[in-house]
Amino acid sequence: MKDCDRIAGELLYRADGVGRSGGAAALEAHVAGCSTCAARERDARARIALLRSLPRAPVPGSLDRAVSAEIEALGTAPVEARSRFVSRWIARLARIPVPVALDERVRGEIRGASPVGRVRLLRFSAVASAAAAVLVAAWTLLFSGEGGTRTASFVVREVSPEAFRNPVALDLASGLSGAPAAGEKR
Amino acid sequence: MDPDRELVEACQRAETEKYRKAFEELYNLYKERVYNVAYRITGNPVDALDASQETFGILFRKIRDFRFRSKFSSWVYRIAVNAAIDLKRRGVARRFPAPAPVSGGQDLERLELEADGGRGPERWAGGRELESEVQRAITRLSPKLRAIVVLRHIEGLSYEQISEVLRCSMGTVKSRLARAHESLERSLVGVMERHFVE
Repeated sequence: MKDCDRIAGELLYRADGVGRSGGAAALEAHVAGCSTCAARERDARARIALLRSLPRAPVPGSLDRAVSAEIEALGTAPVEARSRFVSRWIARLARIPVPVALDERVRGEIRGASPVGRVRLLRFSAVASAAAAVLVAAWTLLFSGEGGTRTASFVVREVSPEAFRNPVALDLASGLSGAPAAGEKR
Repeated sequence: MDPDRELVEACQRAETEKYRKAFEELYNLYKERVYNVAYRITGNPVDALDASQETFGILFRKIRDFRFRSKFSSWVYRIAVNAAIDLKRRGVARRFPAPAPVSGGQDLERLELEADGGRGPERWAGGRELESEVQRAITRLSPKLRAIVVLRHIEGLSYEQISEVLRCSMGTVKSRLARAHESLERSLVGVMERHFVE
């Protein structure tokens, strides 16, 4: 019985078609002489075959329509993606002066820096941050495309309780475009 | 070499018209796989549709950030699995009286237990009902185990690819699959007895 428990995993992998090459003969010999393990392997094979035989669900036409609308909305995406990348890095750079200034201020306190020097440093960091913010805003305005926001229009579905029990009512037939399915509106 | 590399790169760099065409091609290539994964994880067509829409929405928005550190198909499956599981987790999923079967059971009737050497069940009864019962057994699994079962036995992914999709070790894939089978064995024992005609 101890052997049987130990090899249970191996039997499953073998039933799944991924058994190890090493120790295969010993496994085979055990299964040949053990009705429990033979039954266990047979059950595993049947279960796996059952799962593999589940039919593929047909893709509903409403998915085609929704994704088509999504693709349509992506027209300006290449520019957006580029601007997003640059904006992200400018925004990161914009954050640098503030901690640097604070750090300098703390160090200045320790070293006993003059108040005039501190004021200058803070003024410099404020100007640098403002300049970076202006740069981010300018970049976004210049390169964010029309309106600056994506307008994906997904299909809104209204599904009645009956439709839950009836997949046909959910437009399970494949095919691009065409009229919206029953119970659907754009 | 990723078989989808060319198409993905076309999506990443193409301008308007080409861009649209490349995306449509990518969608047609993956829609069936994405929808099926979502369908089998959520257990119903409405949630599967929502999860699939979300998957392609994420896919299209993030495709430029994809750097081929894994296979593209693994990335797609990962998004689909997460979208389907998240939908359930957020409590968006609707309550169904029973998982809706996708066919009249014809495919199930074609089942051949070739691995059993022909000694196993030879005929099926009530394929549609059987599909519902199997789907119910899958839905009863925890999300992680469900994802493994769907990717392995329904989508036919290798253990390596599953570990890439779910970002876990091969050992984890194997142990989860073993646990899933233990659970399925308990759920399906009556089903097998009822539906298989010896």
